[in-house]
Amino acid sequence: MGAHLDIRGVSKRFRQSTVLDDLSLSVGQGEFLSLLGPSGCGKTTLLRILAGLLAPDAGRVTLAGQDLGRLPAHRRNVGVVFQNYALFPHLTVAGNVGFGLRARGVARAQIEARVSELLEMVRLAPLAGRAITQLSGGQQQRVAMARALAVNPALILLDEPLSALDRKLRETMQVELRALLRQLGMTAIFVTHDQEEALALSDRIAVMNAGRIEQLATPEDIYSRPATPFVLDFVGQSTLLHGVVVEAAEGFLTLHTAAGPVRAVGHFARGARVLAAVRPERIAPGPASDAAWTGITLPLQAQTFLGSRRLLHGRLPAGDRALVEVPPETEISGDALPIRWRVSDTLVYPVPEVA
Amino acid sequence: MRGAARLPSPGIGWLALPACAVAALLFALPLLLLLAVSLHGDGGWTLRGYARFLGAAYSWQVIGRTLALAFWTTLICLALGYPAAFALARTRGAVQSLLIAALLLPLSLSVIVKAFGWTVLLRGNGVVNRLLMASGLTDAPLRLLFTEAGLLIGITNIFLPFMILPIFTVVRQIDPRLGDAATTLGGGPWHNFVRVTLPLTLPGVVAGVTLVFSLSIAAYVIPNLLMGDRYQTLSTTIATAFLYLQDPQRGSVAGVVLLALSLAVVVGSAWLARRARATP
Ligand SMILES: Nc1ncnc2c1ncn2[C@@H]1O[C@H](COP(=O)(O)OP(=O)(O)OP(=O)(O)O)[C@@H](O)[C@H]1O
Ligand SMILES: [Mg+2]
Repeated sequence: MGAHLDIRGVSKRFRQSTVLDDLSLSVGQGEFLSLLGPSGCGKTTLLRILAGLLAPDAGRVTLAGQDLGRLPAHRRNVGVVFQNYALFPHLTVAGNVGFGLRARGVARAQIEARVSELLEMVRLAPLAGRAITQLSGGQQQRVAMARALAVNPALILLDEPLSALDRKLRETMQVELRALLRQLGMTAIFVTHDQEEALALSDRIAVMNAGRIEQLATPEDIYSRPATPFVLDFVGQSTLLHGVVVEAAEGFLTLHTAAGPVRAVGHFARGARVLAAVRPERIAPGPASDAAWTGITLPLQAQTFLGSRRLLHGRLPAGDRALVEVPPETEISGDALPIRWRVSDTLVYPVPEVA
Repeated sequence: MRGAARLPSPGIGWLALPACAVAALLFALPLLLLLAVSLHGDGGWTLRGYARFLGAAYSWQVIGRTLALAFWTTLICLALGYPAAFALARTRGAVQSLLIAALLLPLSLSVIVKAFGWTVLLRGNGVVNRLLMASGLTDAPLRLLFTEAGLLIGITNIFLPFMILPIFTVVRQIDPRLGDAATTLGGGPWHNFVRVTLPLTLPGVVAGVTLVFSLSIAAYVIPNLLMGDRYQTLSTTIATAFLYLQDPQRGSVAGVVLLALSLAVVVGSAWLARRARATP
């Protein structure tokens, strides 16, 4: 499967600040790719460049084999769902959905047929004649989707389309949106800074930080094999232990940490300063029984009841933290708890030496 | 929100009573008096005043001239003011404040002073003519003062802020991403202007047109100073009737005609705008 959308070495600067830094990314036909990253990392800027609303300082974008650099925004056939929808307040629901078709000079009867087809698809048919201002947030979101999809774009860009909705509605809309795009086989780039949303919806996730892509992988890999400490920290929670490699042999490491010795898989020189991390659900109470396991004795500080599970927090030196997930009914007594996890579940990252 | 909306007590509407009373006293009453005088002849109620005024060909010349002046003034103000409002909305911070101040400041100056200023500028040896000659555009001074061209220059200058400001207020509120959305949907610049920008700015245009038209249809000082006595509009006719001819009925009739004309245009343009917006 060749790349449907290919972004090569795109850079963008606003005065002194580099917002996109030599960014490359390929998206396959029909793929749902999420751009996940903190506020200000350049997600919207990248979408604006793809849509043609902003010119990159360097780099090349091709869509279905065509160089987009030469095409003005209104010839690109790239659909956009804007952050707060940007619906036309002077038009009805049907007027908004039909806007792109009218701009292309499609015949009136065809516009009407296509508009009702789309309103049917997003379940808004009874509201065709409504004014935009008389719609709820979720309904506006669906109008924005229908409007962008009406012209059958080659690519759809969604800029935090669900972030204005409350949690409950957002979860319903996530499922709906994903099903709709899959049904249409639409190639989509979905911007979010909500990691759960990205994990739940995406075929692949590109985690962005300061204008670069830190990691591009499936949700499973992003979560269980974060490539950098930034991804580890941005997606999900984890136990973090700073340490020094005291033993390195045949791909196995022993680290010295403030909580005690910890074993891991990896290649580091002895004496290297590292950060060890473990995802909470990989950890179980109990002492490490054999060579496949490693563990520490955790001084307990607090516990948080979360309904379906209970989170235990350990007392560790500044910069370290420990998070253990246990079933909610677990009785914890005493102020220290032996915990263990598989050696292969220890994630190890180099720590840059600070002079 | 809902709680806050319920806060005002049922009697709150009565607080508007003094304002309504003042408005009635200052506006409605004089207008009723004007209407009464226009309909009052020697023997009682009569339409003879209207018959006399509207029966004279000269009156129709005056009405035509008044309407033409208001029409051209409004049109030129709209042509200049519409793009100017967009340019103003595009500026930021201190520059914008400065430009708005430059627009508003002349409003604090009496219209007499401004009109008189234009007579100085437009004279044979005035600044405008000297600039024209210095730039080589003309060899001899142009006759500007006491011509309709001069009048239009002066009157549009004086009324232009009333066009720019209402349009600017509306333009400033338009979400710039609506233009982006229209573009990504395949709309070219002209299509997007006609389908998005224009309908959204229409309320500002209606407000500006209404203001400038009503101001210029009733303008008295500016035509008087820039054109002199022989250029009669409805306003100058009213003044002449009251001040020189001592004919209050004629003055009142002309006044009612003037009022009817500007009302017709104001209501008509608002109605047209609403219709234009309603058809997508
Ligand atoms: N037109 C502009 N002029 C100057 N700086 C800009 C402009 N547009 C964006 N920036 C800056 O570029 C950076 C990235 O902005 P961008 O909107 O792409 O972030 P984002 O990842 O979408 O953030 P968010 O999640 O908050 O929407 C920000 O620091 C922003 O201040
Ligand atoms: Mg953004």
